[in-house]
Amino acid sequence: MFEVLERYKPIVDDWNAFMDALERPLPTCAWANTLRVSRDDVVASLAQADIEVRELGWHPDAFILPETLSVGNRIEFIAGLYQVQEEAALVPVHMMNMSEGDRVLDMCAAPGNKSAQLCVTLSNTGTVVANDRSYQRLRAVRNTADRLGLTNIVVTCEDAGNIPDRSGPFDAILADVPCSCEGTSRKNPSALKVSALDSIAKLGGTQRAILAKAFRLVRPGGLVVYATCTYAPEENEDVVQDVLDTLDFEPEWVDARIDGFVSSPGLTTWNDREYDPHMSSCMRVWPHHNDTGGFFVAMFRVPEAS
Amino acid sequence: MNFVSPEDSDRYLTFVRERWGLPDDFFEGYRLIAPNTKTINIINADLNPVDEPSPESCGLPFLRVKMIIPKITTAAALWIGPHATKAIVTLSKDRTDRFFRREDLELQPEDVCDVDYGYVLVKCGEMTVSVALLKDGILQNMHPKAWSIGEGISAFSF
Repeated sequence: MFEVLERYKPIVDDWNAFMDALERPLPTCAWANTLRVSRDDVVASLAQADIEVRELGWHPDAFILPETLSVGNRIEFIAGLYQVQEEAALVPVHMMNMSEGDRVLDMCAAPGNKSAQLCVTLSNTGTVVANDRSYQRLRAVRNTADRLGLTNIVVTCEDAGNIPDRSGPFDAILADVPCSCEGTSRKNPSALKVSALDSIAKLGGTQRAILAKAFRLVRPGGLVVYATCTYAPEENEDVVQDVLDTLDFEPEWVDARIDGFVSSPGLTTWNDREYDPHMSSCMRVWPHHNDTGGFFVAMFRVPEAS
Repeated sequence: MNFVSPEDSDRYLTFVRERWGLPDDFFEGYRLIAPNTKTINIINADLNPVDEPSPESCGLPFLRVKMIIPKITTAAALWIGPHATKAIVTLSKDRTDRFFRREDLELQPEDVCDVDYGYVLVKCGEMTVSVALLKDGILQNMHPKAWSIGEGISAFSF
């Protein structure tokens, strides 16, 4: 099953640890809905049922639940006290560091966890536009928003690359684009049935169109975040470089790092291609580093006058 | 966005505030909109949505109003629950599990309830978990199917 990953051997620091991590089940991560309760309150409620959680050193409101717990059936979940979300997927919104009153666009929002995370970060102020091109998948977005009590969410259904420019400007935009999802294989082994290389032709244009659109919709001085859950440089550094090459302004590279969360820098070369040396400020998340899925994040600050 | 008129907003918000004994300033900083003729949603006052693409939804579903007594949505019930002081029924764990299976429940002496008619918040311990219509001693189950649990499952088990 892991043959499709062999091509990453040159860029993985510890291949055996990487393989071992992929064989293990993915820990279940959740975060407290701080609009309603504190993390300590949720943890205390779970402790009453002898459910012990493990803290995440880097995220104050998140925790790891026991593997055997049926997380979606617990009363705390039904009451909207916590939301389940893969640990690596918490990273982009955490790094965006948004403020109350901000206007944020999540371009590919379904199933809605990152949008919900943004809404809670904004403390039910400002606006989070949760967009997805799949009307069916938006049901999950609304379901989560309702359970968590989010008043600052606006749900839209549009091809992310076609969102009208007049819908902006936004203080920040998250382009968590459709990808080959290799990094989710611990949860969804079928993600490795085919090589990411087979999806690139299909997804590459979409990924570039979405990131380019993000740069058109963000306000001067605003933040653009590009994220995928794949290891493939063709869907990560390649896309970032190609889109940056088309811009008529130079966005500032924002260092994508989190204290206490292990990550690797973005690649500056892959196969025969050399990227902008600033690509090292991107974040690559490998499963064996934090016992998570795989992820990639690039962050940019658009100039005040672009 | 189709804002609810100030008069109707005041009427709806006063109804909810008085029915569930919420603080006077609970809805400060929020506004009501009417996405359709049946539902009222609540949004934070500084919400700045997009015109295009036309939003599928904005904010939190708040009240169903095409009925004699407006019904608070389950989403809104969970939201106001921690601040509500009346019109609450508190169930045991066993009965909460049955409620999550969407059973109607006959009110029992051990159920703590301070009203005898109308929409009530359903709590278990300190947690607000749903909404029901209390009528003739029966808690008519309004729990959403999407948030229900299956037969043989408990919301309290490990």
